[in-house]
Amino acid sequence: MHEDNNNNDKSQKTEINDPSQLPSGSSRRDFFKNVSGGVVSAGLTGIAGTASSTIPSPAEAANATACPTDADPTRWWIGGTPIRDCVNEFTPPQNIMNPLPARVNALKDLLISKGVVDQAKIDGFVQYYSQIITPMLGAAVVVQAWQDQSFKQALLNPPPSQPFYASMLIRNFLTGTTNPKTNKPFLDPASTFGMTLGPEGEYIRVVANGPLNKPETCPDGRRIRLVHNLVVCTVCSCYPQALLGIQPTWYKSQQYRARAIAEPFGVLKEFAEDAGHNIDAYLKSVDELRVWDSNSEVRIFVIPEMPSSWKGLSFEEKLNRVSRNSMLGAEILYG
Amino acid sequence: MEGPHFNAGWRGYGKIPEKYQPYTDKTVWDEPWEGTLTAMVALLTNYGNGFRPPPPRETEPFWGLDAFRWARECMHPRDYMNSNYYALWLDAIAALIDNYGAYMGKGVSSQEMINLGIVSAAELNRARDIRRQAKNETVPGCGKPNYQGEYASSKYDPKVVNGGISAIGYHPKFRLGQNVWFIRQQSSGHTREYPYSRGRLGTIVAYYGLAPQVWMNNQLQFTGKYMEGYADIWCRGLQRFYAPLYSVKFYAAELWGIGYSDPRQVVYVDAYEPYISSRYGSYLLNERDDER
Repeated sequence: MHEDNNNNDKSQKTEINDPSQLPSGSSRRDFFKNVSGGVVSAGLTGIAGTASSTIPSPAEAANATACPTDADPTRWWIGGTPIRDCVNEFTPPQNIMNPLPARVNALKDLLISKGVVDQAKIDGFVQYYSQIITPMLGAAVVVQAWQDQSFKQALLNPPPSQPFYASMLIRNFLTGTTNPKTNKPFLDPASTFGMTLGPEGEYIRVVANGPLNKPETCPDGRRIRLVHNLVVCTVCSCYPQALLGIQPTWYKSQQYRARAIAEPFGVLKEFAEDAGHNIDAYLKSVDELRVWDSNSEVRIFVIPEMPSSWKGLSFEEKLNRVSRNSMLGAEILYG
Repeated sequence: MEGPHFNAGWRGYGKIPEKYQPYTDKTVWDEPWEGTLTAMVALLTNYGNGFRPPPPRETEPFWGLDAFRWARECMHPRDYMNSNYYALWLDAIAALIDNYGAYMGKGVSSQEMINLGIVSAAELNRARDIRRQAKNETVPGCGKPNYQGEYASSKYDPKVVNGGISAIGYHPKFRLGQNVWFIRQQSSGHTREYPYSRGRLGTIVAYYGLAPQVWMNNQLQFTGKYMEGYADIWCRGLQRFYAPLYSVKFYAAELWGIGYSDPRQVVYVDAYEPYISSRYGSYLLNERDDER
C-alpha cells in the first residue's frame, strides 16, 4: 500500500548518517543540519536572496547549546520540554525553561498565594479524579447492558427528541445499583457537581461492538452484519471521563491521535499483539470499522462484545474483567 | 487554529505508548504534579468558583473548554511537537491567565508568571499576536467581526433569534440522510472543523437537538438534548452563539483516498451547522450565502 513511501525512505537512507555514529554531544539540530542543511539552505537562499549569513558555520553550530531533550532522553517524558523560542532551526534556543514539575509547582504556589485556588480544593480534585470516577463505573454499565437486553437497546436507540437519553438511564442505573465491592451505590448523586454523571458525562452516545440487530447495506452493496467501534479525539483527548476516569496515556498520545483515524486496523492489531493475542480472524470478520472523532462535546461510549465463555459468571466477576481499553474499542475481550 | 495539533493521519509516529496502563489511584498519572495540574485546570475552567460551572456573567469575558483548547493551540509549533501532554496544559493555563487574569480580580499578573519561570514572555506574546489576528477573521456562518471583534448572526445568536436557544435547535437546516460538503476555511481562532474533513462529502446520520442550560437548586436540568455553544465563537470569550450540531458519516476513501484505506473503514465526525453546506465548492459562495 505504501510502496512509494518506502522507496523514498530508501533513497534518503543512503545519504543519512546513523545518528549513533555522530560524535557525542551532537544535538538533533546538528544531526538535521548534517543530513539536509544543504538542501534547506539552498531553498532559503532561493526565496530570501541571501540567507546564508543567518546559518551558523559548522564551528558555531558545534558550540550551540544542545537541546536538553537530547542531553537527557528521559526528560521529555517527565516533562522537561524546553520552550526554545527559536527563530528557526539553525539558531540556538533563546530560552530554556525549567523542568515542568518545577513550573507547575511555581504556578500552584502563585495561585494559592493570590487566593485563586487552595490546596484543599486541589487535593479534593486529585482524589475525585483518581478514586471517585474510575473505569469501574463504565464497566458496570457494560455488564448491565450484557445482562439486560432492554437496557442495552434503550442505551443504543434513544428517542430522536432526546438524543442523549442514555446519560439519564445510566445515572438512574448507577445511583440505584449497589457496588458489590463497597456495598454503596456506584454513583453518589452528591459527587456529580450537579451534572448528570460528572465531567464530560452529559452528552453520552452509546455504541456497541458485535453483530447488528438489523444488518445494513453499504452504498456499494456490501452487507454490514458485524461492526467494531473505535473512539479517538484527534486534536485533544476528549472522552467520557465520568464513566472512565482520567484518560490513559496512550489515548492522550500523539501517536494514537494521528494513527487511529487513518489506520484503525493497524492500531487494533498493535493493541492485540502487545497483549500477546492474534486478532486477525476477528478483524477479517468485521464488516465495518467505525472510528469516532470526538470533535464536539458529545462523548462516545463503547459496549464491547462479551466472550461467550463468560455466560455463567456473576455480575462482580464480569465487572472485574471489563477493561477500560475495551470501552474505547481499542481491544476486544478474550474469554 | 491551523497547527500541529491537526496531525490526524500523519505517518511516522511509531508505536503507541503504554497501551496497558493499569488503573489504580497510583497510576492515574505518571507523576504527582500531573494530578496537581489537572486539578488546577478543573478549578480554573469548568469548575471554577467552587466545583460547578459559574453562571453566565454577561459583562465579563468568560473562559471554558473551548478557550482552553485554543490557548493550547497557540503554542509554537516546534514546542507543541516537542511537548508531552501536560506541558501543553501548563502553557494553556498561562495563556488564559495572561488573557483573562485581569477579570479574576485576584491580581495574578503575567509578569509574575514570567519572573517565576512558569512561562516565557515570547510564548505569551505569540499567543497575544494570534488572538489579535483572530479578532479580524471570518468565523464560519458569522462572517467578519466588527472593530471590537464582535460577530453578528441572525441565525446563531440567541439574543437575536426570536425564541432564543431552543428556537435555534427547532430549525436545523439539514435533514437526516442528506449529503453535505464540509466548507473550506483557514482559522487563527479555535475551530472543531479539522482539515481532514474540509471539502469532503459526508452523510448526516444524527441530529443532536439544542436546549438552554437551566440550573435549579445547584442541579443541571438535563433534557437529553445538546446544550453547548458554538465552539468557534465561544473560544473567544466574548459572545455565546449556539449552532445546531449533527453527526456526519464519512467513508474512509473520501478522506484518505481509494487504495490508502480499507473499504470497511468509516469515520464519524460531528459538525456544527456552519461547517457544512448542501452545495459543493465554497469558492462559489460569499459570506452572505453562509447566512442563508
